[in-house]
Amino acid sequence: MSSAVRKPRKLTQWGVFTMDLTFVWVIAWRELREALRHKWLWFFATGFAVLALALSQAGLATAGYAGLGGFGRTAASLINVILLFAPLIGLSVGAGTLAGDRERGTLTYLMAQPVSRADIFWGKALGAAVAVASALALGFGLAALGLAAARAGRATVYLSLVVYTFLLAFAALAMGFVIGTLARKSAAAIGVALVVWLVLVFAGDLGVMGVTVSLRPSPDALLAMLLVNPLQVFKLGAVYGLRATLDTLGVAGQYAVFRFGAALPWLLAGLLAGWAILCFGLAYALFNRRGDL
Amino acid sequence: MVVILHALAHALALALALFTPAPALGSDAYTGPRAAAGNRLVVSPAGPYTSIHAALANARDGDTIEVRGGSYRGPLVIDKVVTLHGVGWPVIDNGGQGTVVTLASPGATLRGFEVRGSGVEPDQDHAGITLTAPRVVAEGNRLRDVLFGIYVANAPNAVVRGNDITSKPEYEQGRKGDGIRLWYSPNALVEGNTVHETRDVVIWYSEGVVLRQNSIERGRYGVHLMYCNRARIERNRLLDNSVGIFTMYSDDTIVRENLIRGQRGPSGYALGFKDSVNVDVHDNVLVDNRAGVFLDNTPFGQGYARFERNALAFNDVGVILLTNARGNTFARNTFWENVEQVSIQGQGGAAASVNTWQGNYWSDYTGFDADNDGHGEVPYHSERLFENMTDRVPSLRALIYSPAAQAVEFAAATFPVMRPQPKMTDAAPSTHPMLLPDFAAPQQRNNAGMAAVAAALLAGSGLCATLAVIGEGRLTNRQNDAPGRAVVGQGVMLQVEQLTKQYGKTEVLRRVSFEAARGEALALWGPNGAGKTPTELSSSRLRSMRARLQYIRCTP
Repeated sequence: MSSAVRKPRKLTQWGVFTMDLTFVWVIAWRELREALRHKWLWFFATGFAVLALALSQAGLATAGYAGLGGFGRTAASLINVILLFAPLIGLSVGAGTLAGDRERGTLTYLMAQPVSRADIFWGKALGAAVAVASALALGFGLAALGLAAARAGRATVYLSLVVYTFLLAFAALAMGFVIGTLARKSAAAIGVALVVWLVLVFAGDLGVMGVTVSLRPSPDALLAMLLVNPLQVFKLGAVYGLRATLDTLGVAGQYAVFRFGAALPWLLAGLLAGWAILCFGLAYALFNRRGDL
Repeated sequence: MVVILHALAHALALALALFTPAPALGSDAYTGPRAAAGNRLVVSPAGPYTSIHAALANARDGDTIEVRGGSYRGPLVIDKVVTLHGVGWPVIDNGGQGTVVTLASPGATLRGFEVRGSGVEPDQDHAGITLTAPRVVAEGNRLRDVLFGIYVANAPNAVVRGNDITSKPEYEQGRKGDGIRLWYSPNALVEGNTVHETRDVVIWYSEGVVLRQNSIERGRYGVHLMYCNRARIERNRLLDNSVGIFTMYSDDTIVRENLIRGQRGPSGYALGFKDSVNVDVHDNVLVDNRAGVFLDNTPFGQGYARFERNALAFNDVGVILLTNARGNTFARNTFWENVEQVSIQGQGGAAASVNTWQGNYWSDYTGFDADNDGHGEVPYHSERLFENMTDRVPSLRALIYSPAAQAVEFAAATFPVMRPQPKMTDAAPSTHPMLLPDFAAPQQRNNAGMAAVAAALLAGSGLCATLAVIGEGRLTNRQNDAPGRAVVGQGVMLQVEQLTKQYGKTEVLRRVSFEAARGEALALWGPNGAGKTPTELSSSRLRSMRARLQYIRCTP
């Protein structure tokens, strides 16, 4: 009967995985709109924009050194800010999305609609990803404007930094979705997300630091430890993009370039994308298995 | 008057040749007879001489052999005091055998030739041009497809000027020959050459050598100086080599006004000194190298090493001092945005006071200049805990730029108990960076690319925000208005049959059936716990319900 009364839709079907792209779009738009209505996303976006702009200008002031276009503390600080902000934005948006909807009851309402779980999940993921990307793009855009005005920076190098940042933010967003799927309350989800952020940003690296000082691991072991953390993957990619070498990062960086050569940037981007895909997939599986309420 | 004009024109042409990139090194700059006492013999494909060897055989000391275009076979050994003068880039090609041209007579000159096709045996020193006599001159030549470029062996006062040198392109760096190699040739002058994609420029066992205004790019050792006292290295450009200028066991060296940028090899020092003494390094610009200055056991013995008014910018490390480097003076330098400004490496750790730091500018200085005398009132200390850790455990560099490293620095700065020993102290640091000298001024670049990137990012961000606001409503409306989406038939919108819901073993709904027509309002009425909510939710596909649901159309 339903096929008689319904116009055929853009149904995408992979096994049990059924999606109606129209619904995905609608939910994505709705999610984007809700995300942009939230003040904290703008708080993050403006905070990131102001810092990025300030940092891009800080080193350009005097004495003609700007045009030398080197990679100094300024660029290092920019990477630092990205390392702090991008995962924070991704994790908190990701954790808040599904948990918040569940807490408000809108998720149950949405699931009561004739849309599949896949529609809901991927629509929300897409909407949140676009929201995060546009928040970051605002910051990067303003900083790029400042750099262009000062005739500094190189477009391709800068773009590679932007791409790696997007990938990092998406990986963090996916982790946030895993948290948000499991949590019942939005506050709990955000809390767990902050702990994860703290581990990624500080605790993990402090651990690596301790192991490096006490055990003096071989370069390949050290590199492996770095590659576990998506933040370090981002950092390797960003520095390689800016420099086309990882000498700055000492023996582990040199080993990475020696071992992987020209494939290194693709490997690093692939690792970040892998984190995003893995976590989104895990989050979807959890979401799919969970009860309605 | 005419003579003066002529000299001026010549100087101008020479200057042009020196300061323009290699291909522009026109032979026109060298046309016209010089003040040669002897005869002029002309070689060209059309005669009178058709071979350089024949002309050389007939030449006498003091003659000039003018070679006009054409290609000639080597090898050529110039054993008379003659000037070979190429017009229109005549080629001397040895077809991949031995050394192409040898200047073996004191004062002989080779000028304006393209020299190519040497042999490939490094242990036989196969070179484009070999100078083996005092005061010989190789000037304004172009060297291609040669193993070594210009090999100066036992040729005191030799002149190597304005040549453009590259090695065999098919070999990897270590297998190539040196662009220029000087061996036991005191007081030689190496000036205005362009050396690119060769192995090293080597200056060994030669006193009083002057290296001036050379451009050395993409090689291994830009300049390698060993056992050479009284060398002067000035106004050279060294770009993208593995190492810039490395000096070993050499005294009384002057290094000034060089631009050294992008030395990025495993060592990657712009300037390195080992066991050297009485070193004067001033007004150099060292940019974007792994390390600006590297000092190993320098100054060596009694003597000094002075570094003044140098700009060290954007290097990974500004200055690396091994703990045996004591007694250096760093004054009025500018340390601009080096990732690590000063690093002290090696066993034992040196006291901060063994070297002198006076009035340098530090881009990370946080003090102030209250009396406006251009010097800060607060000393600059380089005391960074994480840097000290990386100096001790170099593989920790893997973690620089990471927030954890920042956290360590922050902890060190905040809690005095963790504060590390200062590496050095500059009591009255300068608060004004030195201006970049003209020779290092960066080219103004057209930055349309950056502007485009900025525009694209901002536009993308704005577009997403705009679409989010207006786009969703339009999409939903379009869907609602879409023809064919409306229900055809009897107007039944929802049909629920045999709806059953259980919470555990408690059955709340048992086989409830109802349907709703288009435009119809359907109310669920009942006391608390009657099962209204499950029924409402079951107008859907929630999985915890069991029902046979004929779902037709629902618009939220």
